Amino acid sequence: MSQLISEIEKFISAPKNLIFMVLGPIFFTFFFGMVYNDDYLNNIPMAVIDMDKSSLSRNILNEFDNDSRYIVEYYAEDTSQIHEMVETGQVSMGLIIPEGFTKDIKAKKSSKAVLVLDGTNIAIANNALSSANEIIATVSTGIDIEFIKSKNTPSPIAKNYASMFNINNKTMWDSKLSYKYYMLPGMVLVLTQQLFLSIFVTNYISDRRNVFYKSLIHITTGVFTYYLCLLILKKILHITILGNIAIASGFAGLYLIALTGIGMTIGALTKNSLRATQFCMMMSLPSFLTAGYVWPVFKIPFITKVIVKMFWPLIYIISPLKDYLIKGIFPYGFWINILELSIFAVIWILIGFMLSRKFLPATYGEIIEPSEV
Amino acid sequence: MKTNLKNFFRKNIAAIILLFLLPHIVNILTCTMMNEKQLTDIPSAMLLEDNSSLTRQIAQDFDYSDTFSVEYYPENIQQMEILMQEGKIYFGLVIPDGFTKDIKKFKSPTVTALFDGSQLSSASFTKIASSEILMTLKTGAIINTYKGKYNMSSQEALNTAMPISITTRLLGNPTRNYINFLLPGMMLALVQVGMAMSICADDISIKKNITHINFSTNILPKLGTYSILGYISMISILSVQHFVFQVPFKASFFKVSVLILTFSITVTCVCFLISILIENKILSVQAAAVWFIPSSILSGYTWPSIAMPSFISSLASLMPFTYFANTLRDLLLKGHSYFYFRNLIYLMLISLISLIIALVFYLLKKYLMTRRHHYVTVDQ
Repeated sequence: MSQLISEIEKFISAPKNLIFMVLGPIFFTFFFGMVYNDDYLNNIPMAVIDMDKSSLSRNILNEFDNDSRYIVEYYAEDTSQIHEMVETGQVSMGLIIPEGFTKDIKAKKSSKAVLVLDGTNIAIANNALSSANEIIATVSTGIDIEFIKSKNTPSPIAKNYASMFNINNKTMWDSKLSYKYYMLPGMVLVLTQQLFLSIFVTNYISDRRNVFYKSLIHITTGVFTYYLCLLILKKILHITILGNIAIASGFAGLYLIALTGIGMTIGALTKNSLRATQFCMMMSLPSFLTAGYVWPVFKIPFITKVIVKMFWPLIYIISPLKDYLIKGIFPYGFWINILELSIFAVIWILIGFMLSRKFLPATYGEIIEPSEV
Repeated sequence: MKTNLKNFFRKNIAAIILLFLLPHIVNILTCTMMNEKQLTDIPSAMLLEDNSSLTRQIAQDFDYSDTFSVEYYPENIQQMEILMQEGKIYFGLVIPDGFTKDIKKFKSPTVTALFDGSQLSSASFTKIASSEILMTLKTGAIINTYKGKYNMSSQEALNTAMPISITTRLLGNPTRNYINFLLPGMMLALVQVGMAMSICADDISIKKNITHINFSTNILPKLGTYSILGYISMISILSVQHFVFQVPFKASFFKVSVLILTFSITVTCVCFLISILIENKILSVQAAAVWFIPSSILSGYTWPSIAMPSFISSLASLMPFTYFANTLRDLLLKGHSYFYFRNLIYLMLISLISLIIALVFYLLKKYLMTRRHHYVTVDQ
């Protein structure tokens, strides 16, 4: 008990511990919350060229101009200018309405509007394309209905002919498909991971006595921070979280236990705080990119998945935990992931323990390289 | 020679790992992960409440498309929603009872497409792909109706059903290839972090011995070495992406090289400034991490900066990666970047300003140290 109290005293007496482990993730949760605050990607810059100059073409342009997703920034004079503006990134989308557009429609020669998009950023391109398709399809259906009505077909029947069947797109949990829902629940865990690791490893290197109590204090603080970050997501950033935050924090705790093994290993191999900090900080981007969050786990080749699962535990928990938080039920395969995470934790804690015994000095304290002085 | 080489590696092991080994391993891992390049065979479910040849045709069209893999046929909508909740499917299509009969009677039945909104990447792909398939089927049905009701020819019926057709040209990344979109910038962001971690931990400005350090003979060569090492690492990562994973490299090697070298120099200068301003090495490394790691998000490389609050865009405008990442992707995928020269100038400006501020602080520190050293000597 006295060992636990002494470790708590040590932990609290260093202000950097609480600043990094509690305030750091909270600050970054707010910060990234602001980055992704806009639900929709609005004001996508676009250029248009109306070579038809008819009331119909003006109507189409108005539809784009009045849609909050687009902002018509340029009225080009020829098609090459549109291509050039999209190619050079001055606009993200171009719309070309060709000459004789209305005349062709009236003559029942299907008329072609051209959408030119900058495909280099898929986030913008997908957003811009789906809304543009909707606008053009609405205008097109309107014209179709007018055609049919002109054939002495009553208006309601013309509408039914032209629509044939309706498509109801229902997006579950996040109807706006926003980045906020997509990124933040996962990012919070990565932030907790980063700041937990960088503090735990440096403290472990400088004194590896009472490793059990030391881990317990760091993990408890990490879990508490994760809980606070989730509360911020729910209460302040208004992300609908259907899962139980306390239960999610419990699983985050298991994840942090798995990380202690990795932390002990890093500590034993680097042997000094500076090297350990360098390595821990370096791991944020790779761990996130390889965790099956950006690219779904079911599309990761088996061998690659095995390699990632052997060396970093984020892949076991980040997507399942996000799914639980957003959907409120444990996703398929959740418990298998938890079992694998537990096995990972046991193996790496053993590895970390053995490497520490071998490489970290018996006398406690950090090995300081001459260059570090 | 052998001992020298051994000593060199021993002394620079951290820099070798952070600048070369780790970024290259992660590069190969992530490129292999995303080697399918597009999200295909997304697990899906079909609820066919109306079992007719038309609805079976619809199910078949979805199953035959590259995007969907119809793995479940639930019996009701609740079952489908549970499948989605459990993460077994990312897309579901519900064709209601009496669908074919209603179409024949022109009652406009409604088909419901269900998307898993918690999975942004798959939802955006499935939305576009399902809408294409359903619109094609819908147009086909309308054409058949018009042909029958109004004695139209196939072409006339098509033109009436679809008075405006859209041709889409997706420039730069026509197949929406994920590797091309994400990995060139992300992997170089990783090298950038590796550079920051190495430089800020190095002895560029050994605090106690600053009086004996000469900028041109001690510091400048180190800064140059880091810039070149960063450049080599970035070029070799892009080479692996290009030659092994077929990432396009449309611009000239020279143009890309100039951009990367300028970026590498800029990162080095900013890190030099951080290491001069913050004496404690660990703190210096942590400050560099706080500055450089979020830059991959703030630069607008994935989530565009036009959608961010203005103060965050202003903050991002101070980060070298903002002027680098999108320009690099444009060069690789399109062959040119409209903002190439402007961004080169911005990068040079950031380097210059960082270097000047760092030099002022360096000289100030050196002056104060020299004076202190002088007084100590006189006292002795």
